Amino acid sequence: MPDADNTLCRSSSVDKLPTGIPGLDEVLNGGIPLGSLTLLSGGPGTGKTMIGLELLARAAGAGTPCVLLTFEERESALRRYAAGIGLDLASLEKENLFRIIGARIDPQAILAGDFDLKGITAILSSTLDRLGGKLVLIDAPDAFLGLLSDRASERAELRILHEWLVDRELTSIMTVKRSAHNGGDSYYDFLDYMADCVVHLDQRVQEQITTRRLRVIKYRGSSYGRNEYPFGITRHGVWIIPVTQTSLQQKALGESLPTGVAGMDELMGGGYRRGSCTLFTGGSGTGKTTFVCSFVERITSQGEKVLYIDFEESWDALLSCMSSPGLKLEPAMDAELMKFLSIMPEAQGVEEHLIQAFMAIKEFEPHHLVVDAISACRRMGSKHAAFDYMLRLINHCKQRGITSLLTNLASTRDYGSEISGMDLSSVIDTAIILRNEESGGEYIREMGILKSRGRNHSSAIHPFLITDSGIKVQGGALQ
Amino acid sequence: MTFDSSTGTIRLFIAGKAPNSIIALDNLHRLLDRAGISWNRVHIVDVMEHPEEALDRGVFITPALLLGSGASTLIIYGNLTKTRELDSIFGTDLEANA
Repeated sequence: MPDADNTLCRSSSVDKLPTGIPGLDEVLNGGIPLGSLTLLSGGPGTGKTMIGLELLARAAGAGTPCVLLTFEERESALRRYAAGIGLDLASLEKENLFRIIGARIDPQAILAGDFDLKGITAILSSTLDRLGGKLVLIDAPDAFLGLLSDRASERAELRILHEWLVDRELTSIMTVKRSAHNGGDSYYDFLDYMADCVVHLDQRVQEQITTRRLRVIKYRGSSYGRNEYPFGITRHGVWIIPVTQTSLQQKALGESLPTGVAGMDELMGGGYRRGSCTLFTGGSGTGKTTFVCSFVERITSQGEKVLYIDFEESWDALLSCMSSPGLKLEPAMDAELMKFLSIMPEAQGVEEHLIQAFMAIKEFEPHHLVVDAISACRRMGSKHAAFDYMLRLINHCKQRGITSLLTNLASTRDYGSEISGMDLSSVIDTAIILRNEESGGEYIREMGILKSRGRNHSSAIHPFLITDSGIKVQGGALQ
Repeated sequence: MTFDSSTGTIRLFIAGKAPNSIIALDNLHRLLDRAGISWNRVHIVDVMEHPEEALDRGVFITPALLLGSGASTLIIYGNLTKTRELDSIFGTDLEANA
């Protein structure tokens, strides 16, 4: 993927090992430093061990033998965590590409004076030599060194360990605890000065939704993304979507696509442009979903694929609603030309929503995307969260030439402000308003094209009907 | 866990000439002298030379004293300067014996 992040300079004098974690290599401008220490610090549950584990397992999967030395986790738990993100450690272990050294201290053991890390480095050295390994993760050494009688001894041992890692030219990752108290300061802050690459992790709760974030604090000899990056842990592993990754790499709009609505293509100067973003906005019951489903039915009949993200209805409910205007979506689903995701906006944070959508796009490779309705995105936590989600999703689609159709439940009849209400107007190519106007004791359905970039479109308000064989737009101007 | 000091196996895991390992050797000598136990019963494992044995036995801290064998092995970590539990195990607790 092209690097479009303006905060990510490409200057680097450091040889790097790609992490294989989507997004992280962009933040780290290529990966972690080879032959140096990378520190992952954070509080409980922030994902330190998961990032380290995934990085190691992916490196092992690519043929680099690795050793994971843990002072805290059970070996079986690590294998289970890895399986949870689709990584099979047992197979890597059988192939002599991965070793776990479970150095948990027996809780029944007696402590009778000071000790040192000489023994563990000898074991680590021997294990690395047997594997031919140069990559090691040291997980939670604080759990071990905290048994020493004083903090000075603990610091001294960590310094000795660091020297040993550097002398052996090992590429190493170390996880340490970092408390959220005192502004995130921790006793282990001195490690930040020793390591060549330092990544701080945390998780915060806003509006009852938890989001994990990471920030690269330093990276000697290399530029890096200096922002704070939200990330999620999915069944496929850690996903980071740098915000500015989605900037201005959009493809030019393509040819016209049929709308699937009788009479509408002509009003739009030919139809929707491939790779464009079209927003339908209107009150409840104005036909927004019927318009987008008309397109879905038509375009899938031509063999093109549609990803449909529905924040309001289930698949069965949508099928039921669309049977009235005679739209049949089952054939598209049966032919695997349609993927339907029904998601409660409150179910997860913006990053998880975004990752879920990006993963679906990666796996399903749709030509077109429908989001019904973007107004529900506000329930992801805040108006800003909704904006963040939609902007990044639309830009992601535009980069890939995916046509997106969005619906928006308008809360007022001021359609202009409704469209710009989420500050998305700059990324929306075509805006269509839908409304029900009372006239002579009945409601008349009307639609108008508020804007359509680069198109000679109708500027009139057009009545339309939803019949049992689809929508029929009339070409005459009403106003 | 119990340890029979008259017959049980005594293993000391050290890391070469690391300061804590040297102190542990010295402290164990004195302890066994007090307990009247022959030094010949002590099996010394230098982890620098035999890391696999340490790995097999799950010994990651050096120095470490392993008393007994099997599931009832008693593990004592550190340079053996804190002798209270050791004196109790080897019956060299002078106050208790008085």
